Amino acid sequence: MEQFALAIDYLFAQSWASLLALYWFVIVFELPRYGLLFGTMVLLPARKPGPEYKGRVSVMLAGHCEEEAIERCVQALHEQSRPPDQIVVVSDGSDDAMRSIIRRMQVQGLIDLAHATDLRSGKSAGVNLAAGSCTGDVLVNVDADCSFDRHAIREIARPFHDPAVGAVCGCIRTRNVNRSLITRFQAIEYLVSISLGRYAADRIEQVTCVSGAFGAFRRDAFLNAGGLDAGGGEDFDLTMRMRQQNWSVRFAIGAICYTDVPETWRTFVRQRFRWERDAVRLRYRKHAAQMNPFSHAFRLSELTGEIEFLLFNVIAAIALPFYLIWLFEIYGTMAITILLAAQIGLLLIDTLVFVAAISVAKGSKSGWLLLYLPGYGVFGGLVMRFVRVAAYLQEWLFYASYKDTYVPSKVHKVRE
Amino acid sequence: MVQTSSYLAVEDPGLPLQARRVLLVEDSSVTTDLVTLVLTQAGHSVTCAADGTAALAALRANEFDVVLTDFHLPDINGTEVVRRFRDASLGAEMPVFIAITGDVRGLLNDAHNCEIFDKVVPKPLDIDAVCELVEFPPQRMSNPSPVNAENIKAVDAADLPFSWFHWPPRAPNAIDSGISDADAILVTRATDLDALWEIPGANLLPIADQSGTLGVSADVDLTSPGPEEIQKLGEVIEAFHLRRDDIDIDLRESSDEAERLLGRMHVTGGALTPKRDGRRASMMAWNSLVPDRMLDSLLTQLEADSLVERAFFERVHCCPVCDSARLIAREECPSCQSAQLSEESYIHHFRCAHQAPESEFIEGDELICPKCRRRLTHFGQDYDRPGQMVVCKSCQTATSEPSVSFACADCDKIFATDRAVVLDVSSARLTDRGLSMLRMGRSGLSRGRTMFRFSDLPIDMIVGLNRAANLWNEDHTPFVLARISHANLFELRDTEGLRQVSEARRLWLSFLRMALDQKYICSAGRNDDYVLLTNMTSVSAETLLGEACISAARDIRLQLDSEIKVFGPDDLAK
Repeated sequence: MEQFALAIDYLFAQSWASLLALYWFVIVFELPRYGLLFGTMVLLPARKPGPEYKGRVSVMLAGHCEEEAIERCVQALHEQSRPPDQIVVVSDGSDDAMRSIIRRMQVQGLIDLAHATDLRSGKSAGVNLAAGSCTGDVLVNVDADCSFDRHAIREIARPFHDPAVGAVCGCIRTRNVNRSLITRFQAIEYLVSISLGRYAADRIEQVTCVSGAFGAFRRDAFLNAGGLDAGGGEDFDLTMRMRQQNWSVRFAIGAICYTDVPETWRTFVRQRFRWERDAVRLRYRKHAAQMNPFSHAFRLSELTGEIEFLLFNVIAAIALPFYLIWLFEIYGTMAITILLAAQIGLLLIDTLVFVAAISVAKGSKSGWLLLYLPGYGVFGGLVMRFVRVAAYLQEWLFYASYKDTYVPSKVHKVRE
Repeated sequence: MVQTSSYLAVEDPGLPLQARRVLLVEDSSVTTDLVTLVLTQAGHSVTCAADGTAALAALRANEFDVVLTDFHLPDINGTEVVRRFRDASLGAEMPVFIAITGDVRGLLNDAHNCEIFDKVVPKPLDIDAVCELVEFPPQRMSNPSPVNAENIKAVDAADLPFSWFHWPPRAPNAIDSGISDADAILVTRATDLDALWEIPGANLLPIADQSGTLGVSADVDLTSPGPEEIQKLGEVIEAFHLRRDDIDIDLRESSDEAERLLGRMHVTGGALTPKRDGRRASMMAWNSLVPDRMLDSLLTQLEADSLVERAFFERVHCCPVCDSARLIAREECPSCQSAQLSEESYIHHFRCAHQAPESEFIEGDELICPKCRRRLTHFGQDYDRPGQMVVCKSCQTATSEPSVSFACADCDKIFATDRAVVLDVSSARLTDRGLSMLRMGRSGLSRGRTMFRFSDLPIDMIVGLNRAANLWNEDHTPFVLARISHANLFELRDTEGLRQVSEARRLWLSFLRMALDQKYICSAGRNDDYVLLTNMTSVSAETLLGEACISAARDIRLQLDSEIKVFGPDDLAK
């Protein structure tokens, strides 16, 4: 306790310059991120949603062994204020009842076309197969285990009124918020990074990933880009390729889709490992040329995103252990108090961010999650960074993304 | 090639009445050897020809009494041989032409073929019959005239020694005069069969089909009546007759459709049997002419009364528009409803995750990925085929789950399978209760009858009874009417068959007649027999009849277990 009081005294005794030296990590890796977010939100107005899109909309549903989810998902699509004009379902090598369920739904007229393969080909191949059968001007890619807000299809299609728009990202929220501590943290994370983050990014044309769970594509743009490439991270990969082809990628905050997030630490960490590995593989292997100013693939518009990722995700994660070692080296046990003090400061900013997020995420009824913000700060600032570092190391050293079970092993061997 | 074996078996004591000159036209050497041997041993001279040309040459060269010719010959067939010879030698003395064939029905079906021969002998050959034919040839046809095939059939069947009710009726008032005297219904044209069913009594008569269209609904097929068919016709008419007599008089004449159907089931052997039949809109033919639309409700009614029991036979899907069951089941494109579908493999290119129908990958004899333009060379390494799909040739839509629909062959409507009306078709069989009701009448399911109905009495008995009643009224001359019931009758019918039992009853009654004075009238009712004893009291009548019954039963194999019930004038007056 005495040490704690001592540390507080020490902090209050610092000049601005010495505080800067003490908290260089926070100042380099945390504050600019928030600054960028607030700056965009405050300085730039939200883009106008535009009139309702009048073209044909096809929905693609590709899934493996989704016997429990598929029917509910299709029924939710029929409940839409603007139901899709065509629903194409692909059972990707399912060995459960999915095949017979989609056959029945086709007989009942609930879906328009059904494909069922005997062997699993992976999500990308399934979606590509569905896309080949779609006749709509806009293709909406949906995960079978998602459910939708009544106006989701209408809202996700709306930006296509602008002919420059090639893809639109839906607003994904968590459905199983109350299952565990980790789901509550993820709920906050989704609200902040998707509802608020992409809403802000949309103002500066920086939506860099159209989520595979709920995204829409202009059919021509999708087919010209060649559809999805072999996964994982195929959603991010396609977005990058479409942006390369100068398509505008938008975020529709009103196109709300709910999904279940991992409920245990184990599954959560595994999922994030996969995501981080795929991000690294795609950015620094497959699309490395995008970073090279001398390559034809280089785009100034992509530079912001690239720098943001490099700085705030990669370098920040790698720098954190060094910062902690440095801090403990110099201040010993006082470092804990110093970190706590930083965390308290960040909590204030996090609170502001969270309030902003729930104010844009209308109807989310998530204000109570404010109670979890102190924990979320530690979760996002420390835990997630360690997960990242581990994932990056794994990918750089062991090419771990080439062994994911997310894609069939036959695909791994030959995937780019 | 002509071979002559004209040696005579002179030492054979059994010389024929007249030695015939026989030409045997037959390509089978075994048959030739056998027939030649037998005929020559019987004293005839046999010339053999192995084909039609040789036969014609032999016919021109020699005179024959009998020509035995195979129908199927290596060059020209037997009919042609005969026709050419007849054409070439008009007015000349003709031999008797006998056709030998394994396909009698086929030959008979062709009026011209059958007319040209004097006789047709079926294969395998009955050698004795051949000998007899050669010795006593059938009367030669002097001037065969080509006859319309239909006429032959009509004449043939109608000329058979049965009393026919013709359908369609030959005279306008034919229906009014009733069909109760007919043995069977001869259908020459299958029109308005519902009206035929409606005719009282038509349900209990066998249907002989000459139209060739009734199928299982007819009891005998007389389309090409041969000896077998005619024999069968006789048997069927008799069986119907026996079973018809087994039915209670009221039910026999009933106009209630359910009872009529029950009667029909009994005369045909107790079962109503469906059979799949593509010629009918219902796709079901029955061994009855009862209209399809009535069947289900009638059987439901009969089943509810436990008179028949049903057994599932088939589930039929019907058009929701016209009720026809003639439906074409088709896999169709879910987009454009075309049935022009072809099967195709999916191809999954691992490297770029493109997955599409095989046809999109085919370029010449190569598989090229349409997305990344890479050549797929290594199955399992570059690509695989994760399944099969169907591709619509009309609109190019691909799916692995084509829709299934029905197209109605009658009204042309195409509709999804779940819109079809589903009907379960069941066969039906008379229950014991149904049989009892048919035999005993509606109210007679119990056996303990004490009174009788005058309508049960045979006509001679009614006349006799009338006379006796007049005498009783005039001078009180007593008389006794005895009813003799055979308690075992129904059990015996079930175990021994109708024919045996009716024969036993007939014998029993004739023995009873012998045992009684000839002045008494003994007469057979439907189930019971009756004896009218004049100038006799009940008591003595019972004694007399008791002894007579015992003596009559003595020589009968079947134990009818007869019971006597006597009615005096006073009983009858009640």
